[in-house]
Parts: sequence; C-alpha cells; structure tokens
Amino acid sequence: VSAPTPASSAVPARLTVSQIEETRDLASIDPLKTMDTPVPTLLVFDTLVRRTPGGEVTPLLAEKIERVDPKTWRFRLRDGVKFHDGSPLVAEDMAATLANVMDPKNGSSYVRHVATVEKVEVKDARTVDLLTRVPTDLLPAFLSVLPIAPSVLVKDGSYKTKLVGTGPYTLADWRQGESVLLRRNPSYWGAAPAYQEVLVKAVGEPSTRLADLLSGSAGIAGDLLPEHVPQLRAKGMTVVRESGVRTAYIAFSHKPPTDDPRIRQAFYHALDRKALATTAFGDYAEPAISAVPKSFSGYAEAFPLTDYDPAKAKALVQAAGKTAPVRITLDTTAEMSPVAQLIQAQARDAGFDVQINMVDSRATLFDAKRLMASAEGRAFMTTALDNRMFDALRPLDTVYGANSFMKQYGYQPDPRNQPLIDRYTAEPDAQKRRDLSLEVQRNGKEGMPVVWLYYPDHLFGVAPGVCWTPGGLGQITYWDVKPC
Amino acid sequence: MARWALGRLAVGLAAVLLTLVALFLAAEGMSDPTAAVLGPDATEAQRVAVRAELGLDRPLPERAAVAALRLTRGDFGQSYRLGRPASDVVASALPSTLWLAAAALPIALVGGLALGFALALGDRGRRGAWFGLLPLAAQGVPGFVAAIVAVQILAVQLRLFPASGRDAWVLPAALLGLGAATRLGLLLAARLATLVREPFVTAALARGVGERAVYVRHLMRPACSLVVSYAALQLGYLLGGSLVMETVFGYPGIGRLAVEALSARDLPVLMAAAACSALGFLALRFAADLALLWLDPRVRDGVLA
Repeated sequence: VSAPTPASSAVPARLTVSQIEETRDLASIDPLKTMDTPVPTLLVFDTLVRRTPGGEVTPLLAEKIERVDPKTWRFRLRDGVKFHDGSPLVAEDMAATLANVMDPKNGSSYVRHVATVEKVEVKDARTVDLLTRVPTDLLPAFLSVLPIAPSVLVKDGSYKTKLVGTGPYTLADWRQGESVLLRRNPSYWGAAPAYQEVLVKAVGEPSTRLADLLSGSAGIAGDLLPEHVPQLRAKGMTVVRESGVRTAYIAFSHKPPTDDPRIRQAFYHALDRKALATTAFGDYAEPAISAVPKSFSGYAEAFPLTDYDPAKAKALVQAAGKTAPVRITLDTTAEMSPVAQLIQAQARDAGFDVQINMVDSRATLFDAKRLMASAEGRAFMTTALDNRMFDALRPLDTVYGANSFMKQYGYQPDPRNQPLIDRYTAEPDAQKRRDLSLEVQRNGKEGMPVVWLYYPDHLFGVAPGVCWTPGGLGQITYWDVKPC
Repeated sequence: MARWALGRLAVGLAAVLLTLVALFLAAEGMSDPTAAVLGPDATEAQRVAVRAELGLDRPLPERAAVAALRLTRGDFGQSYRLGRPASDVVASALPSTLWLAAAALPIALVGGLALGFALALGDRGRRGAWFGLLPLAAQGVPGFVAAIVAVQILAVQLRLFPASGRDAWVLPAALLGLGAATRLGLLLAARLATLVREPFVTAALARGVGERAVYVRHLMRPACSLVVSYAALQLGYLLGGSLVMETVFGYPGIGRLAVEALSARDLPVLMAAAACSALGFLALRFAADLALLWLDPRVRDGVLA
C-alpha cells in the first residue's frame, strides 16, 4: 500500500462527475437493492470478481474460485482485507450479503444474478461454497456486480445508508437527491486510488451536465446526447463512448387488439429498427438484432433487420381479422418522444394508427394496474432492462422465462422456454449456449411479448487533465480514471 | 379579532387536511408503488413480498385508519422508496428551499417596488412608453429559457457561477427574484395608477404637495398592502419549490422532491411535502393578513366591524 499522494497543483485533489444514470436520482444509496445505481456502491465496495473489457473474470475479493463439483462453486476470500471500520473480511460477510439479496422481501435486483444459487455454505473463515440448482458456468461472472457488505450491518439493516465496504473510497457525505462525496481509503488493500476525493453529482438535465463540464466544474460529464458531440470536440473535450447496457424496447399489454400475437408480430415487422436508431441517435446506437448487443455473451441474431416488411405486417393484420388502420396507443415518457413519433410514422405505412400517450414516469409506464384497467391493449416503450450480466440470460429469463415480468400484463410465457433457459444456464459450451439463446428468442418471437428496438450508447465528455480508459462496462470505471 | 384569527386557522387546517385526504384517495387510483420500489422487471414473488412489507396488501379502510392515526402524531409513515420517515425526507430538503426563497425575496421586493414606482412616475412621454414595454416583454420569457441562457452565458462562457448543485443558488435565486420583481412591479404600477385617482391624492395635490412627495408619503403605505399580499403569495409558491429552477440547476429542493415522489408513487413523501408546503403557505397568508390589518385602515375596519 502506497502512501496517500499529497494534494498538489499538478494532481487535482478532487474529481467531480456530473451524471444521472449511474446514481439515478440519488434518492437511495442502498448498495444491495439495485445494481442500476453503481455509484457510490462501486467506489465504496469491492466485488468478489471483476469483469474485464474482454469479458473474462478476474479475481478481486475472491483470490481463488474453483468448481468442486458440477453444482458447487467454492470461493476462497483474500486474506488481510479490512472493511472501512477496521473489521476483517470473512466468509460470513459474503454469506450474509448473498442471503440478503436472495430474500424476496428485500426486493433486490441482484436476485436474478443469484437465481441459480440454492444454498450458501460457510466452510471456514475464508471459504464459502455456493450450491446451485443446476450446474452453471455463468455464476462467477454474474457476481462481478455484487458488492460485499459486512455481515453485522447487513443483519441489523443499517447497511442501507451506512456504507461500510472494503473499497478504494469511503463515503464522506451523501446529500440525498444531490451528490455523494467519496474520500480515498488510505489503507486500501489494492491499487491506490488516483484522487483524494471523488464528487459524483446527480444532475437530471442533459444541458446542465454539459454546462458542468464546459464551465470547468466537472471533470467528467455522463449521459450526454449525440447532439452534444460537436460542441464537446470544439471545446477540446474527449468524447468517450461505451456500448450500452440498456435496451430500448416496446412491450404490450395483452388485451384487444394487442392480445393477438399476429398483431404484435405485425407491429414488429412494421418497424425499421435501423432507421429508428440512426435517426434518433446518429451513429450512437446499435439496432437490436438480438435480445442483447453484439458484444454480449449469448448474442444470437433472432431478429434480423430484413424482418422490416410493411407488406408482411399488413398481411398479418389481415390474417388477424382486423381492418387497417389498427389503432394502437403507445405510452412512453418524454425523453423518448422523438422515437415515438418516428414509430408513429413508420407504423402508419403498415396499417397502424399509433396514438402517442406521454406519461410522467417509468413507474407510471409500467404500472400493471393502470395498463390492465384500460379496456384496450396498449404498447408501452422505454429504455431500461439494464443488463449487467452482459449476457443473454438477462432478457431471456426476465422476458421469456417462467418468471417473466410480462406476466403481469397478461402474457403467458411459452412453456418450451424455461427448460431451454435452464439448459442455457447449465451449458458450458459458448456456441451451444448461443444456439439455445437463438431457440428461446425464436420461440419468444412467436409470442412477441416485446419488440427489441436498439441499444443506445453511453456518451461521456472528459475534460483535459482527466484520463480514462473505458472498461467496457457501460459506466465510469473509476479505477481506470486518472489525472494526466 | 381573536374570533377572526381562529376562524382563519380552522379554515386553513381544514384545507390542509382536505389536501391530504384528496392525495390519499388519488393515490388509490394511480398506482402500484412496487414498480418504482423494485424496478419494472422484478419477479412476482418480490412484488408480493414488498407489497406486504409496505402494508399495501391491507384493505383500503384499514390503511386509511392507520394513516389517520399516524397523522395525529404528525407521522406520515415511512417513505416507500427510501425506507426512512417521510417527514425526515422532507425536512432534509426544506433548508435548501428556504434558502432559495430567502435569497429571492429581497430581490423581488426591492426590485418590484423600484420598478413599480418607476413605471408609475415615468408613465408619461415617449420614453416612458418604451420603458413600460420592457417588463411586459420580460414577463413573456419562460423561466426555463432565462435559466438556460443564464447558464450558457454566466456559467459556461464567463465561468462566474457553478452550473448545478447546492452551491449554484445565486443564479436561480436571482432569476426567481427578478421574475417576481417584474410581476410585482407591473401590479404595483397598475395599483398606483388607480390610487392616484383617489380623493385623498387629489386633496394632497390641491394642498400643493409635489407629485413625487405624494407618491412617497401618501401612496407608499396603501401600495405596501399590495406588496405584502404579493410577497406572501410569492413566498408561499417558493416554499412549494421552484420546479423549473430546481430542475435546470440540479438544485435539491422540495419541488423536485415532490415531483420525484409523485413519479415513484411514494405517497408518504408526497403527503409530507404537500403538508409542509400547504402549512407554510397558510402561515404566510395569515402573517400577511395581520400585516394588512396594520397597513390598511379599511381592512381593519372590515374585520373589527
């Protein structure tokens, strides 16, 4: 462990980051609740393993991971690691963290990452066995996002706001809805953190984030828009682009007319996803050809762009016994309004009369009570489903599996899919997994509970004096950010 | 006088209570907060468990009774989303809102008074006509446009102020203050224009008191009643948070908190925020009424009669 770098004019003491997606509104900093707000979790805590840009898993808190039998993963924890309060990291901490996220009462979004785990066994002070329901190769990689919290705080519930981790920074201040201030952990066991302090601000307005960067009050601005790029370049800022972990998609509530799979398929064939992505984002989005972006494992092209076929859409509408134009209400939130208008125009050519309905928030958008109270079936569009598994299992399980979240909107999951998903989880061979992924997606395409649209990139602006080599995780990898 | 005050108080509290009841009932129609608590794609098991945890699986009368009982102790319940008392959540957002309001108010009052008298006195001749059009034009500029322009020029180009966060209160306070000053100035000028025609002004002018002196000595006090009413109203609005400014400047206040709570269907926080704003508004209104009694003899006569 090296001594703390003295703050000098050459080394800026503080890195300020102005963003929104990595903290969302900073209303909560509960590290075990959701992986969709990686800050401050990512800085205060360490994970068992880390995912490299190439997709490999490298040890972090776990110094050794072995598979003792097909259904048992053994994690050997690093020796000498201490939490910020001075207590040593032990097996019990890992076990308590896993037990917490596995308990449905806690409503943790990590639950799908540990869905295969049936039992957690503490073998000794530094060894934990994870016994899985099916044999799976994927588990260690899925744990690359799970922070390990001290068992004492996890058990008494105070972990939600009292952030005590083993990570490179300690939480110095949390201003709810506003910012988190992190201070370097002088006795960090790993590589010494590059800044004395990191201030991460939650700023909802894109133009304000840009202004923070251009006015010199932030070193990195996140969640910028493609139209900001020329201005960033003109002002000498570095533009960093990361492929997205979020998915833009349309889902349907299953009431007439969208209860008919042919109508949902017709809607899919009516949309030119490439044109949508290009018109709305320029070069900064990847049209969805699969339920995951190209760089993710389990990628399989079940939704080729050639499926865009207004004539086929019209034929499907006719086969469903409907006369064009079929009226469909498309609910969405304000930031997707331009995309909704493009969809409206595209769908018109295929015999759909799309009525755009703006709702105030994603919570309203997904409100099953609201959607199912409406007599007509609706389409609703959002950009969500953050995929921090970097694997197809995330959408396959969440959308097409027996536990599909679409069930609350009347969708009946295809019974063929869950066994295929289980096989996918258990399959060690990457190519065979891709084949299984393709099969699940093709089955899903028949029922068409959702239409995948595109994967928007994450755009960051980086000020001179700050150097960041992106880590391929679709978010700021703070351990790679350095003054320069 | 005491009866008048008590009557005011009772009506005010009834209004707050009605607001809360309306919110509670509206929440019934609008929502399932689990989507916000858990994220949209949680499993059914999670949704069931969280609904039970929040007590949302109980029948409506039971939930209403629980909420009413808690309310008698000033307890709004736990925030669905944040798992801590809703009143704490609101209390932590209140200081920054108060700060912004306190900073904007003097600008509004001084600016409004100055503008109002300037418009009234300068209401003659070609120069006056042009001058009178300026505040009208300024009033037509939407708040967010002014805010964005201010950020571009003063924060990005000149780097005089930070663009966002708690420290960035100067620009929003100035914009809110100037906006209110413009509106107040126009109202005041109109009021002065009617006051000038009152008999006591004619009498003063007939006694040979100069025009400027009439404005300062004879019109200031009745004009002030308008200023006080307006200031109370304006401050009341500011206590509810200024959503546009808080959004553009990423400033943490009650307005944003309430909107976020609404988006998240976080009823306890929504109710606590509404109660806080409504009570503040009523208290200010009450203080303004008292001030009016002192300022304007006509009002006093009406109350005492």
